[in-house]
Amino acid sequence: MTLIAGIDIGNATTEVALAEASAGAAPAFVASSIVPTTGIKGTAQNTQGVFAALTQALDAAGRPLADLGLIRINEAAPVIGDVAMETISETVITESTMIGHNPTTPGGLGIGVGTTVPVDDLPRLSPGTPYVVVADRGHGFEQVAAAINAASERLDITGVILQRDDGVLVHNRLTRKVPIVDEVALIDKVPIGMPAAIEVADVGRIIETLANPYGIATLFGLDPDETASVVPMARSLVGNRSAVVIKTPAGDVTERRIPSGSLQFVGERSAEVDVDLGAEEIMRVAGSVGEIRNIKGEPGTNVGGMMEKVRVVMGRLTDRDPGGIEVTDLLAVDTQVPQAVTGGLAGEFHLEAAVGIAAMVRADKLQMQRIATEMTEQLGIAVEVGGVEADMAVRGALTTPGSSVPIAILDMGAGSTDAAVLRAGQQPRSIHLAGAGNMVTLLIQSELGLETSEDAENVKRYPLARVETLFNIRHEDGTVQFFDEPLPPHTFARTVVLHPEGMIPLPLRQPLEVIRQVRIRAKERVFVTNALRALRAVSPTASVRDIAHVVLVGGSALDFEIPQLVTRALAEYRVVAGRANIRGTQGPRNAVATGLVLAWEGSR
Amino acid sequence: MRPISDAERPRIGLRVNDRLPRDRIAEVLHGIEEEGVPVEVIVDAELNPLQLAHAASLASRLGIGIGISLDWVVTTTEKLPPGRPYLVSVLNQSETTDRAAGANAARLVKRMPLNV
Repeated sequence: MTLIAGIDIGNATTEVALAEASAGAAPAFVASSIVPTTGIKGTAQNTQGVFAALTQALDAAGRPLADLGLIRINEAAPVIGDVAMETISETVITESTMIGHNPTTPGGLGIGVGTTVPVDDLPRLSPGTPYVVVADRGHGFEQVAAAINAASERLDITGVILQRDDGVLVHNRLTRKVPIVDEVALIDKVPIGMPAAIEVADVGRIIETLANPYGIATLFGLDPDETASVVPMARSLVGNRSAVVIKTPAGDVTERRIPSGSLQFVGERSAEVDVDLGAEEIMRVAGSVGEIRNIKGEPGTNVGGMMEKVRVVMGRLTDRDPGGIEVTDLLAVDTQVPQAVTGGLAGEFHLEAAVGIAAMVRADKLQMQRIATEMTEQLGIAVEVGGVEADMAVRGALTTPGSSVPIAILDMGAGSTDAAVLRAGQQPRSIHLAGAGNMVTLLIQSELGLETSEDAENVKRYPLARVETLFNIRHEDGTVQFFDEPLPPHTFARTVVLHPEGMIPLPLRQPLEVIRQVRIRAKERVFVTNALRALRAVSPTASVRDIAHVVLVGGSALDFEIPQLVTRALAEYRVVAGRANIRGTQGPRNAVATGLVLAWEGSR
Repeated sequence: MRPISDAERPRIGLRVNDRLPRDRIAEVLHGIEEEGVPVEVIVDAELNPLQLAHAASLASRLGIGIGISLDWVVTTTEKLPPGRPYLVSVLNQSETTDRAAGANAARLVKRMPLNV
């Protein structure tokens, strides 16, 4: 009888499976443990975490360290991933020709057309033409209202543009009501003396005329060519409750593609693809070169800089020359990023096309042996490197009740998605794919326009709810929960993340359901895509159907919805897919550690 | 249908101590007005802003009350005890804070995120 410990040093956690093993009999597991990994996976700092995890497991089993006969550690999956985002379109407003935003409280209702004039000029103007009044922060609502009321007997005033949040206050004091757009931050950039149109929609409605090219043509008397040129403007105003369009001689709204460079895939064949063609085309080209040996970005372009950054980060982590780092897989995802409109006057945002890219590099294979030697010296216990991580994971995963060969495991981590497939009578085959939890976080952060990745991480990990009253929230599934104490004012009427340590309000105006869909789609586009990619890559017929069982392990398998999303997607291929339950007790954790113990018999 | 009397109209209640000059509450009222919620102002001899707010919330058909006295703006709802109001701010700190206090009371009614 020997007491052996299988230890899996992962990117995020270090896990131990402790078992009593004897020749010719199945090992009897006595304890398991899990602690956060210390340092970067595959480096000397890992031994601290290993020691903590071992102590925890030994304590649970009531055994002293001296009883331990053998430690088996994994040969770590030699991959590390990184993510980046590249915007490929931008909206530019020249000469400040429009304002399209959603102040919470605009004033008035309807449409007004006239020439823009500063409020101070009103007494000097002559009647005959309609005017749109522009008032900056220096003018209080009473002053603005008084000036307009004094002039309205004499002049035809058709609308007001305000810098302050005073739209309703001014409106309530006008003797003749006109539509008012307020909270225009950069009001000094509004061109004066130009024809302008203002539209404010009723509560709960969106503007109709200024979001319609023919509507703009009617108001300004445009010819067919000019009408064609206002299409981008009309389009970017769709969905707003209020808007201003100003007709200046050279004013325009353009949407242009940003040249972002090309990616070169070096494999059995070589191929190049322009990043602005989008994710689908990038992935098609990536699939056309056979096994990828390296991926390069065009030097001097955005994507070139991005791939260079990946190499530098990876070089630092693995202590190698960045030039020698080879990027061996890449996952591109089309996405939309809210970006501040160049030339916008009221902090307008526009959804721009972007491509998110997760890249993966091969790391040094020898480091685990170094750690094993170091641990032997420190602990005085034999430590051996027990085999390829993915193979160990397959062995561990097969202890999930109801699983059988042919089996695939999907190890969904933070940096990469690793997959291994075992078919009857064959050696396990493993592959490593770019794109995992960090990519999901990046997509959520950029699509929602969140400032911190911490908020995005929270959106990814925990369900949402909306605070409805002082005493209740409505969960994203529609159920209502009541509280005895009033909920804090900073959460009131907001969408919150239900973090275990309390509600975190999100700095977002989007409805809860929109945020939820962004989250789900980000997870699908990374994990469902990678599940299918992995299974196709290892299937002899390139068909996903040949795998009977897909078992999900790793940190992302603990997610509250990723396993269900993958299960649902793979069900279409009649594949049984689900979260692992290692040894019937450990859930998706401890697969590799368990596999290391189980492989001991065979390794002797 | 009979006409709705003023007392029945859904409004935020605002009770202000009778010794406080009326112009000191102007920006709080503007904050409410900009949000488009009606308000009823009652002058009261009570000095404690907590009691003023509590009484105002109980009388308001919207269940939201503001009490202004001494140097405080207190906002509460009919469901909270007098000693535990929902929002408290210092009166006349700036135009912005007074407007925010008024706007927040209105936003409680509209169930919109507060400016805190």
